Amino acid sequence: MMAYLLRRVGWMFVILFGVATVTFFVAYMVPGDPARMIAGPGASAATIDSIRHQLGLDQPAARQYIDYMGRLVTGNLGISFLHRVPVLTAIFQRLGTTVLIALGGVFWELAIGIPVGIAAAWKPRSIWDRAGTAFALLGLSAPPFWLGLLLLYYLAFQHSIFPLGGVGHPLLWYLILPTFTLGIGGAAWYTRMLRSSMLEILRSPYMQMARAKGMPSRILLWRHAMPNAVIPLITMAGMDLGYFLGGVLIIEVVFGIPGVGQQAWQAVQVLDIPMIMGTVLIAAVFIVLMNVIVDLSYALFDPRIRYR
Amino acid sequence: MLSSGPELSDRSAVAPESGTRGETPVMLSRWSLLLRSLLHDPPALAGAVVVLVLLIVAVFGSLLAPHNPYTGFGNGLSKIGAPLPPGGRFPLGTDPNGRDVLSRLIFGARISLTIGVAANGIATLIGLLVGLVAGYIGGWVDTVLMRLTDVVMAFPILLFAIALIAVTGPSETNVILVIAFLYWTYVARVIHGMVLSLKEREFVTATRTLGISGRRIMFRHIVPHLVPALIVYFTLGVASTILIEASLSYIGIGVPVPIPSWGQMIAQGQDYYQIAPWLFIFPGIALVATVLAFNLVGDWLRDVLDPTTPQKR
Repeated sequence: MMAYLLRRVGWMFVILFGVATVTFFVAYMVPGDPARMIAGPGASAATIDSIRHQLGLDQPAARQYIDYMGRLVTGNLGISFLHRVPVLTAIFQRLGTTVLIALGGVFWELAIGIPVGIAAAWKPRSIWDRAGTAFALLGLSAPPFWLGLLLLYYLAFQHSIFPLGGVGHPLLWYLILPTFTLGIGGAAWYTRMLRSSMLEILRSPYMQMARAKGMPSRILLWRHAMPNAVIPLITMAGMDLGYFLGGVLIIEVVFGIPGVGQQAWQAVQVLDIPMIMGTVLIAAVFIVLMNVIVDLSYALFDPRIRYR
Repeated sequence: MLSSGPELSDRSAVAPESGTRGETPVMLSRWSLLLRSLLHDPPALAGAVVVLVLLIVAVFGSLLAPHNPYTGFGNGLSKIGAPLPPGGRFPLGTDPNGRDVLSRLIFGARISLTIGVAANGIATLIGLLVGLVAGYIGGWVDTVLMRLTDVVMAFPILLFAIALIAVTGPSETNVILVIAFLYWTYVARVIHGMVLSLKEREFVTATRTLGISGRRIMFRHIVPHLVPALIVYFTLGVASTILIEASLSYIGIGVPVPIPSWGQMIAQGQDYYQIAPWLFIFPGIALVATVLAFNLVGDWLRDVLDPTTPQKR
């Protein structure tokens, strides 16, 4: 287990190194001149040159790469052109909101996906199964931004049940629609996963054995089938959480939520490269970290798994 | 790879195991079996019909569209300059520039399908090559290629796609290349896993004993076994790449305006939702129907061709 842990964490650093290298090259191949963008219009050539020198942009690519990596190790992702504050600071300022949205999204994924998936598997080919399957297909096929707009249109504009986007007081009220929109795709996905894994478990020998012993179906389902079917889902939800933490750009834009994703979108519009690539990098770090945590937690949740 | 194309396709039509060639009756019955199973699966049949209609609309769009999608009609706006509701000369109404929504939807189908098929085609090809080479050769080649796959997979797809297009500039080609660059990893992983188990099978050992080159074994003997999975992944991949393209257009960095794309139409319609809700509702329905159709066909293909393929997100 210890050796596995070390190897897993070791590879994690290799992946993060690769991720940082890719972000450097993307930022490096930007056609525009960052120094000119920082200096603003009407700056003298001398000013631009001095900024270029300060940023190390007059250095050869290899030198810039080494400097970039060196800065990353100390948590320095550069200065945002737009906000003129360190990128990392700007991201952490917005992270709180994004964490709430991410947690809410995962909540809906599980709160919808688990019951619908189980209902569908419990009586295959029943009306519940068909409704669940249809929901899953629609949920996977609907673009989240469009779903969000529809919800806003019907529930916020026409019926004024929910606020028309943004954040306010009480916060929970403003988070219901965006988190639901965020979670619906995952919920559809989990419904499908759970339905098929549950069907497989219900057909397995140990289930037939339990049934043959005359075990009541309630205990059969909740005590013996559920844990095995739901564990993979919890771990997938962990990965989704990592994915969402990097900013759920499109949901934040549709609902006007001041999170990490919306900030990245604003950065895209003015080509604020340090901000864009910084957000991408942080998002990738969250994804990689959550993957490792999920892999390791498998060992805790599922005693059948042994690591070499 | 390309030179062995025709042979591949005719082998994949026959059961990959049998490997017999030139047996036309067998092929025909396979196709009719496929068709029969489609007829017995109403959702899949509906999906297939929609996909077929979409292909026709995408190819013959300019003949089918009632108006030029780029023309802003003077009589396409109300007296106060608002978009016209559906009905009459403009069946699905007009947009804020007085352009015909139906014609723009029809031309939008071409954009969605072109990008979906092209991006996903490139992604499937790269994924196949990477997975095949990594899995078959093994060793450090495997390690390097699959860690590279891990690195690309570590990036959040939409955010990274937006960043890449922001940097490279929005154009149809860039959208296709960026989506392909972010999508090949899924195919590579699955193919890699399949090749790892295939190369341990007796027929591969046998061909190797005969002294056949590694390249020939990979492309002539292993690839035919991967074709069913590739078809399934390609079909399901079209559905998700169309969604990504729509998201990019919606955000405003997909194909540049005034080219009509559904995502961009939704974004424009959003600003007029109070007076003209149909502007964002119609393109959304077109998107859902398209993606749903590809998903239905993909699911059916998986059931028919390759029941063992793991599900893909």
